[in-house]
Amino acid sequence: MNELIISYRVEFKKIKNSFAIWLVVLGAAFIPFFFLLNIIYQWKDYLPHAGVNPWNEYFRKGFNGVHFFFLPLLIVLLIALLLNIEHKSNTWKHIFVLPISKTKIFFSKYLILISLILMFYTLMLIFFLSGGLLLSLWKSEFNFLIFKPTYFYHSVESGIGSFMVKSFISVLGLMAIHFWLSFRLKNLFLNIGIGLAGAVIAVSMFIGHWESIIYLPYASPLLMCNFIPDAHRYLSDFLINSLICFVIIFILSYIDFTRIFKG
Amino acid sequence: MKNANELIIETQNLEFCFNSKQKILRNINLRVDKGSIYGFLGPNGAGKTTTIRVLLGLLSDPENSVQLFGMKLRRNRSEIFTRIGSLIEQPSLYEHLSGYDNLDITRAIRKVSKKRVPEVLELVKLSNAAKKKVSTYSLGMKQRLGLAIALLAEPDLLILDEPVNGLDPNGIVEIRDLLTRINKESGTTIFLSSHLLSEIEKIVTHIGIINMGELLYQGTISELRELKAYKSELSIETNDNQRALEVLGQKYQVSRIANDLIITCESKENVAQIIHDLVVNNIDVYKAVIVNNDLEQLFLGMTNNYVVK
Repeated sequence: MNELIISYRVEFKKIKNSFAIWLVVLGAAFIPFFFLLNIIYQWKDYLPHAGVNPWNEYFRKGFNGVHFFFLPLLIVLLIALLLNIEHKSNTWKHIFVLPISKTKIFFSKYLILISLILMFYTLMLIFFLSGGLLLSLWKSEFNFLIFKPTYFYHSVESGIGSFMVKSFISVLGLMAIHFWLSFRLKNLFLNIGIGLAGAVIAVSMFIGHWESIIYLPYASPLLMCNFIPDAHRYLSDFLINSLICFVIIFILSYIDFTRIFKG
Repeated sequence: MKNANELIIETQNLEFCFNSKQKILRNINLRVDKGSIYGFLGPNGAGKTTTIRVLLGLLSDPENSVQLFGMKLRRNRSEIFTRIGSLIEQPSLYEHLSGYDNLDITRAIRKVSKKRVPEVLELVKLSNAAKKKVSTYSLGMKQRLGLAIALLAEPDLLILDEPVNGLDPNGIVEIRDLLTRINKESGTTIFLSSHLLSEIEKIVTHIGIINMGELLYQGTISELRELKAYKSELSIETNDNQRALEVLGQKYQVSRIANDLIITCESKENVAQIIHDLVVNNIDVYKAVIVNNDLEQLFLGMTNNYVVK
């Protein structure tokens, strides 16, 4: 356990000065910032009706912008950059001759990736909330200061926390696929290209109303657009599929990394 | 008590192939003694780096033919790697980080004291550049930082693949001195590869010569020097070269170049016999010089399919 913590800290040190950390910060700010600009530009269209909590609609539209195309690509790019540090520096051969097991290396890399994604979600939420507050400071009719961001305080099913958890689950499948691809493929652009192709196929299936879209890991984030929670289950079918994909690919990539992959 | 002749690296009929058709390494039987500086020589593409990669488990060894510190690598990975420092091909460095941070990453995993970082930086003369990003380093500085990383945990075995690559002549001398000092002061066994004998001839105690995936020679440097005497050419000048040619031509391969006779010697004893034969036949010997027999020539001879039994 101690070695895993050391390895995790080392992974954090490696991303110092790298673009991966900037991608998390800038990526988290990107949609909230442009959404805010759009609201400022067309503010009359966004004014809520009297007595209506503005946060619900604000979050719905904002997160639609995040989940449609942007989130899968950001995750793909983040993983590619994170693991490309080792390819670019030619350091796999160095890591694999250090007195630390491959299992710990694998898990510490996964942990750093999940930490960065959680950091992305946290920052994005902070930016969205700040955007709402700024709008109300600018024009009080937006009512963001009168109402609370109710997504936080409603039932577990519709709470913003629950929504974020589901959004995170929606990216797990493609995260596992690209984690595997990223340590196997040295070519950063090929890696990103595969992610881009996956996202384009997902959008095409979405527009074409394909029912089988729920099986495509690249489409899971897209299906979070205008998300309505399942009345009977906590996780919808596409989220369960993303989770299953994650578990299977995670196990396979672990076996590959620890037994076959030589760097 | 530790055995002085303990083998630190041992391979038994090591073979490696990327596909089943072409073997990259064939029957490599390395024997690296404790405390030795073993020079692993061979031209580019001979199989040096592949051997090193197999030794370190970076390429598969299905026959499990590698033993390090008397232990099989597959089952004792962590224990073995605690005792090894390595530098394989070009140094593995995070260029977006400083030299210090690069060392600190390895230090943390190897659980070495923080005090050791400035020590190794001083050792490789990089203290002044420690805080600079590695991307600003010259090739020689990167090589030295790679060496510092390998030395960080004061390993029992250093495996260095072409460690003086990219260094200027002063840098080469400094690294040679450093390696000799580490070997003498700490008893560190050093296994280093090179494609130039002249680069490492002065520091190695043992030599292994590999070409086209086969180990052509393995032994101490003094044994190699003896071997060189067996395969040399003797240049002599006498008061009567014509008669000398007649006397020696029956037993040896003799050619005449200007005022000298060039005789191919098979052994050190041949040299004494030649002189003796000339003296017995009342031929005065003005000059007798061994030519074309430096180690480099021998190395080149071997690697040009000059197989020495």
